[in-house]
Amino acid sequence: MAMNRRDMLLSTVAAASGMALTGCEDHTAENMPQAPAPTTGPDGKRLIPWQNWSGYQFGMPTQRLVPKDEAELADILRQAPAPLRPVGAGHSFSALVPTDGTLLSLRNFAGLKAHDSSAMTATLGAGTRLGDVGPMLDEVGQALTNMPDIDSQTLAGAIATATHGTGAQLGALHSYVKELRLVTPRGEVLDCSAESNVEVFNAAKVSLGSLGVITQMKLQNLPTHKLKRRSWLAPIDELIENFDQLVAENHSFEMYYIPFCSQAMAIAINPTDEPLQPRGPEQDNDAVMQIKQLRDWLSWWPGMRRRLLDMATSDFEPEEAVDVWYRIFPSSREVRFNEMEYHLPSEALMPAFKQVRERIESQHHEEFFPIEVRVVRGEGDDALLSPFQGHAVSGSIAVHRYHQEDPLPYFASLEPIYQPYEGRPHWGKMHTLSSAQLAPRYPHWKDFLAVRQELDPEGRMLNPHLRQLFDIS
Amino acid sequence: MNSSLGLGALCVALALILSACGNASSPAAEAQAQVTAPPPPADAGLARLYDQTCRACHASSRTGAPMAGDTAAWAPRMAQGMDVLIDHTINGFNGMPPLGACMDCSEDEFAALIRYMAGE
Repeated sequence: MAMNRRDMLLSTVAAASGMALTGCEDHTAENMPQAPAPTTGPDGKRLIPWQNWSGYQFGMPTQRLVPKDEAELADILRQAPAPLRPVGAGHSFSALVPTDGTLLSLRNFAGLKAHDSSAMTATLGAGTRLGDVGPMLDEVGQALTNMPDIDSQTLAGAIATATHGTGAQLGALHSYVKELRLVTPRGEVLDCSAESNVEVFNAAKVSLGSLGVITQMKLQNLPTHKLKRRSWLAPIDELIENFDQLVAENHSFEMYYIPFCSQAMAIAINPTDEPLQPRGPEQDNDAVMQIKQLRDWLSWWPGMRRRLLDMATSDFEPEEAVDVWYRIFPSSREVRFNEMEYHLPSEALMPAFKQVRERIESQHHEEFFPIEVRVVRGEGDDALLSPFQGHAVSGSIAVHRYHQEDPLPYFASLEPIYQPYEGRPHWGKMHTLSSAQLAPRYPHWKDFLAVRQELDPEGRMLNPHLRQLFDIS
Repeated sequence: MNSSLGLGALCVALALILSACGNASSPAAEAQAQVTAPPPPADAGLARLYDQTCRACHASSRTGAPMAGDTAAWAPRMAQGMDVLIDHTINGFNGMPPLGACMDCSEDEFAALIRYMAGE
């Protein structure tokens, strides 16, 4: 969000007096959990706790292992202390990874294993980071059909949590998985597809790392291509009014609502043959921190805050970029946060979003992080725990809280809005739903639990979060 | 810019307020110099580790992270001492996530990766 008048805006703010105290508000940072300080092991070296990307989730595993191949992985799964938790990039905000047992790094299961240029498929190690997938596929003439706006995650972590991008005709990443290989807690190696081990395949595509460890997957891709990204600001009421049309008209479309600003940002991505016009320096991170500064000073005066934000955004020139697909989809997100995202039937998206906006502007003057509104194709998605299953098109609303500020009161205030719509939380993001609430929203909930019980009867893959989620004591 | 608002003085005031609260910096704010990527670490294991973890951010001028091989950017950081840098790596620092994206690195591996990126 490059805003040409941001500096003026920030300077103008100080015209109001008595801002020093609000500037020092720490937003209940004292409630934030803190990872234990590293202690010293018998070898005199630090024993290092695991923490997720935001630092909110943490644990002190007994051991951190890096299996070199599937045989070693199978031995570990059979014998190592439970809970066994695979970790990719640690980019989940929910407590999927913390364990006091065995933490498994998948970084040795990475890279392009094979590709088929006629079928336009590629087999990749499950520990490959999305940021590395792009150049690998492009080199063999292929492209992911869809990609999230963050590319730090591993493929395994992304599909395990139903990570998605945005676009009414674009499925989440797992919907393009044609085959996968799963090493189970009993050490079996299962090749799964729509033709082989079908039940396990449909369960494993979105399985929260609870069925074993996925080591590789074959993806259905597209020929590599260029995309054009256009971003612009428009009055938020206008974007709300035109949201469905903008979604329909663009290959990929999303909206960022900036709290206490009359304008919102729209981003549209479409295939193009136009000449390359690479994206410029990433400005979103600076913009977010400047919006935060404005919050620090003016959360007590929303009218002035809106006026200044509107001034700062009034001369924003639309930006365009043309590049290879993997340099267009993702952005660099350097301001860390915690996140809650809910998926809703598309017809519920705007009604729910209006409620979210109203609640933020009436009750959450402390909020500054832009709210992300996206869509995902649900049609044809047959993963048992896919939050998009049954929705022709799924809508999603993602809210964020700066990583040094307590996310729970804010998320607790907004989460009830999604419940009448039977919203389904993103598996990798924070939520408070129990098994009793989730089961009725997932037609195949029991089917998934049956597969899980069959593959891992002793619950070796289950940490406390997963036991609570699946109601397994 | 409307000079009648006294922007210069106001900026100073705001900077003081922010520095008092210890949250003034923007992690991506530092300008990135043009840096030639250094040759991979001589140790094959370390080279692989770097490629799988640090490289994603420390070889990209879009992230705000000090670039591998940018000795000028690394010098003030190294001056803080390796213990400080390892603490920052383990717990995260500004835009850098905890563990620097290496879920299994030991203290010695973190130190070796830092020394490589700092050009030592």
